[in-house]
Amino acid sequence: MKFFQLEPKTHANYLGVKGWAYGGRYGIERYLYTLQRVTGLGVLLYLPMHLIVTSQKLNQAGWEQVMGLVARGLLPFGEFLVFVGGVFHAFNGIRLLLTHFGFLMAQPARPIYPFTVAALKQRWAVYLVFVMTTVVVGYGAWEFLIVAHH
Amino acid sequence: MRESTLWLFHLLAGAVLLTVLGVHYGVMHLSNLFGIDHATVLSFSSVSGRSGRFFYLVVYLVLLPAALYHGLYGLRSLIFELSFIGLVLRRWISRILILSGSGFLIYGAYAIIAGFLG
Repeated sequence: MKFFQLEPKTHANYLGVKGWAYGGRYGIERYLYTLQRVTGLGVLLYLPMHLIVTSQKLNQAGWEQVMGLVARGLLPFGEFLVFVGGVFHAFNGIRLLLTHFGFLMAQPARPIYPFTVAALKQRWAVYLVFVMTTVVVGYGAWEFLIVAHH
Repeated sequence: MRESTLWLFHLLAGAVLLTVLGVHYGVMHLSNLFGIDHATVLSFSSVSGRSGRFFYLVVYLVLLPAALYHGLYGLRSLIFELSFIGLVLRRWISRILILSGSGFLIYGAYAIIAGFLG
């Protein structure tokens, strides 16, 4: 006697870690999701180092020594990159928060031809994330490059 | 605690960070915009002057736990998405993250409070 197989067919996770980065033909939002993770990890990796460095403020000699160390080579540029990542993460985070609670989502509708792409309803928010990030990072870059290194 | 509650805390911590990290970034990276001299913003007198103010004490004491929770919970979610992480390993990862987060919280809070008290 033959029984039906009740277990659903599963597929091997053949993309593995690459699946985090590769979104195939999904929209730009899928790649912003990856970028959100990359920038979040970057800021998180920086946090313990930042805590150790800033805790040196308790005495002047220690502070001046550590500030001398972090001003060397590419470290100030690396710190600026953390700023860029943090700004993007924040603006994209606002978009994700609003989407998560349904504020930027399209209303459910019958699929009547010609079909509309629901994701396009919140595409303006994606562009706004880029604009806001560019404005804040642009000002920060001006201060970093012109004012601080004048 | 339920996963949905932890996720809600993650979102709340993110919302809190938008405000307090905004203050931190404003002072450190957009200082000219707020009338602070960028050239001296990292000098010892400027840093210890800010540390002694009640406003910055509150900002940093809110920022520290919010940043640690938001960051470490985000990392935990990312690790847990890997299909080969089993239940036992998940528990150990959570414990390690709670322990390291608590350690950094105590260390950071000590520096903030000691900086305020001078």
